[in-house]
Amino acid sequence: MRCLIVLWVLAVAAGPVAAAGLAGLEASVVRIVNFSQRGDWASPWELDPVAESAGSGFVIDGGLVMTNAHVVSDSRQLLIYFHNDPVPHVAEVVHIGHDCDLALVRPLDPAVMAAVPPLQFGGLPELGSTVDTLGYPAGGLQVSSTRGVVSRIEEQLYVHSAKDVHATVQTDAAINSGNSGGPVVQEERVVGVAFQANLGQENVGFFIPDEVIHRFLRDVEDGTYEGYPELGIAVSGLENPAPRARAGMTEGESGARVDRVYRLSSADGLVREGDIVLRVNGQTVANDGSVADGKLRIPFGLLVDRMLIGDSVAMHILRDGARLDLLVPLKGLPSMDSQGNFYDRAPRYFVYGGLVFVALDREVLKTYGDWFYEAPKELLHEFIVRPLLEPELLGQERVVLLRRLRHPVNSDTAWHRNQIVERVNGRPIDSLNTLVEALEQHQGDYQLIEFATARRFGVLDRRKANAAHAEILERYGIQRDRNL
Amino acid sequence: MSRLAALAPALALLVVAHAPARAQAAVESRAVYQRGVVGLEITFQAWDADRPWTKNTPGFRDATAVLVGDGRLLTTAQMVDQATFMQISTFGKPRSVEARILEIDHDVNLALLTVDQPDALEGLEPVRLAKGTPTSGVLRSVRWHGQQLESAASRITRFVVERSWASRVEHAFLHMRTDLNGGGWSEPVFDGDQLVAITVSQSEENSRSIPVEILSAFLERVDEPDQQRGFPTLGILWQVNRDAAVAGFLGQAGEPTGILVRQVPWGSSGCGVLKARDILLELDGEPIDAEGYFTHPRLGQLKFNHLVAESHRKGDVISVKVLREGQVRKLDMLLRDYPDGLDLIPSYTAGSPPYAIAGGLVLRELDLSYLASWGKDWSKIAPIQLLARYYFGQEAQTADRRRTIVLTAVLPSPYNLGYQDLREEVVERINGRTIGGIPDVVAALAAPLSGFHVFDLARDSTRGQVVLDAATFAAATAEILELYGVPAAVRLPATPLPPGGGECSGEF
Repeated sequence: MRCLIVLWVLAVAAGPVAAAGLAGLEASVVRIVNFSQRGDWASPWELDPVAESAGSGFVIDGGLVMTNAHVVSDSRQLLIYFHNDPVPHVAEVVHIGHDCDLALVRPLDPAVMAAVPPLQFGGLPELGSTVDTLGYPAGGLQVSSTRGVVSRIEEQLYVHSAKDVHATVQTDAAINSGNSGGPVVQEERVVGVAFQANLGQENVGFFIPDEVIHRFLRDVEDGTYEGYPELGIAVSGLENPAPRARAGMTEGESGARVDRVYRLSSADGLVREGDIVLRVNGQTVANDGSVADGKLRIPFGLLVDRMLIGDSVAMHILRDGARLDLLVPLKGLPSMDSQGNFYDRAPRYFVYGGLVFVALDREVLKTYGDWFYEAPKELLHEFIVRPLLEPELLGQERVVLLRRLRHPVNSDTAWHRNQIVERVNGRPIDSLNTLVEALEQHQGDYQLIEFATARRFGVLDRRKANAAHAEILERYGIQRDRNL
Repeated sequence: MSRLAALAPALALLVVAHAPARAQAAVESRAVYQRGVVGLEITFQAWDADRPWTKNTPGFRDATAVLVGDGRLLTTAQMVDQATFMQISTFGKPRSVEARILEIDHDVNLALLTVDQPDALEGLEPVRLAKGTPTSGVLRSVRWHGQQLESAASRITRFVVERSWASRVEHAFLHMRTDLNGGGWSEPVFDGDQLVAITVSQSEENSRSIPVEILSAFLERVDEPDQQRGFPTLGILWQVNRDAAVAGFLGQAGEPTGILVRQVPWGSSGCGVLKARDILLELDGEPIDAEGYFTHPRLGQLKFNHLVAESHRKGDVISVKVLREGQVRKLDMLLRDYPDGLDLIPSYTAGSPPYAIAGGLVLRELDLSYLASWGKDWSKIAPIQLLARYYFGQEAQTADRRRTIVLTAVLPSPYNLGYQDLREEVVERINGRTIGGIPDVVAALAAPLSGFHVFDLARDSTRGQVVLDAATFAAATAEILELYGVPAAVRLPATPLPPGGGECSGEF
């Protein structure tokens, strides 16, 4: 009798995890606490307060813990808690992919991992099949699991970077904050990493599927995370028969039209605007730009998504009536970085004469809250519209005069905030570094700063500005005049 | 009896003697108001922003006008904007008499109406216009309230030079603090029995009125031939010259004075005469200070653009003094108006917006009223590509591209399958032809490219091109018009665009 009671008590103590047939897996699921600190893009010489957040992760082969990048970003201290182990273990980030929201971390003391069984990976689950999410969602400190079905398999925006689109799997298993980084399992194998939910919809959670996870693991095999390749083209559909006829496509032939080739991208110089993409890596492109992929259809860009930087993608195109084969070597597109959220870095800035210059990026716009509507028009125009109208701006770092720290050297002026700096002392500004050089190397009496719109300009008396430099920093409590 | 006591009755007599005189004047003025102030009942309809071939549900507004002679009624252009039907009321009683527009000037927001039944104005007397607006004191704002004449006190507070309702012309506006409730609908303002202003807007107790200097100038010009009409403006974009470093950089010694010229648009008065980074020191002999003020002989410190609007006509040549590259230069400048035709995206379109339906694609001229159709927050929530052109693209107007054409939506049909989701895309070229207005659209569609109509959209659009079959275009368009109840495929601009500045390309 006593034995039975003990067993029963143990069964209850193990909780829903054991009852769901996931016994044993919980040992490999960890809780991760991150003490993080970010820069302040509104006052770029300052740091935000230290924040504390928690997520989940799981042990994989090689003595590593896999989790989401957003669980371990901007970390000042990382702690891992193992199941039924009260000891917090200090950990470090080994690899982090902000463009796919994945990261690998490990405890500083490798011995801690010796007895923990790694989880194994499965493949892509079937639509409608059952999956379990394991993790440490908000509301408790014990591991828990939730069960749901695979509702949809589709590409989605990865919210962490806010600019990358990859395959995701949608489930109605409850995924809450705290679940991030935890494994989604089926038949005791990891089929995904839980990572985001749609706050506006109920019973909608997402996990990162096998293809993204494995691309990430392949990428870091050589010791460095290179990141996703970008083909660098924008296409539109050819559902209407007229453009197909005009391009000389035959009956039944299908494809998508290249509307734009991004400067400095993989496709730059190889693919041209107006090309019709007929096949990618041997797969026929339909008139909506999709290709067949097992039982599903995916945008052809997701084929490139599965590749590594350094691979080449084969494209069969129609150009001026001729069908051509292209082999496009793949590289990343760092000039698009500023379009996404930044992590693990401080804002770039330079203060001179009390004028605060920063690089224009998404983080600067985010300081305006609902920035798409609330940010100053000059910044939105420069960030969203101008690079499309003037492609040569892509690859340049656009510099903003963010604000003026008032001082007699810059007072009594018609200085404008939030203006894009086009030229300094006649020199075109294509990066913050160029602006610093233009100001520091100038020998004339006046520093002329010209802005991008409405022919606005401002002038500083160079000697007075230089003489007041240290005093302005002192007065406003700024320790360093620059972060480049 | 003290001397004061002896004086008292005499003083009392004096006071008593004046009181009836003032009361008498008030009674006489009241009679002037009754016989000169006329009510307007206006039915108006705006054009639907998304379906520019239809008018929206009629709205109503009550306004006021004054009789200024020859059976003409003076009111503001804003009141009669988009009017479908206007009726007058005299002595506070509505008459079944239609009024129609004789003359309308959007630059200064004034309109002259007439009625075709002269006996409708029986018993009315035209009012007299004052020689100039007083600079202080209490005036009377007048309107009819049913059959009661309302004459409220309005105290002059100040004069402010501002842009008029729908144009770039700037002139002094009379600001008052008024007892009139809910005014701002074109009520006349009187000093005694003389007209001194017409009120264009009111916010709580603060009203804003067009002064008699502008009213008189408008009335004088109404009977002149076309080229003499209209109000001039410099048309430049400028900023204050307060910064010693900027002034020093531009070679100005001493305390900064004059204003800094920033941009000189194509076709404006300053084009070819003023340059970016000039410091404008004097206009027509009047010195301008660093904030842009000059000293008006009667109205005091006013911003400089009033000088041009009040005292000059289009076609006048005035002298200007500028500091350019460290040298003071005296130049002559021909004054022009600044018609909406010179704005790539005009702030006002008189009448119905030009549009074209091409194979179901709805194309229309972009103007401010289209942006404003997104509501009071339009400057934030209207499509970013349109806002970008409004705020930063105005300098893109050239001789062969005068307007921006937007593909606002597509009326779906099998003919345009694949394009039905397009919204608010700017059209650059059709069939290889640069599109600068609806007439260009019509001309381009007459010349398809090898059997296709090719619409090249602006580079910030969601797709690069729309291609449609040319052979079936006409039949498909006719079917679509039928299906969606569109009366006509094309509406061309009502008036041709005014010529630009000729050779002068401007500095924008």
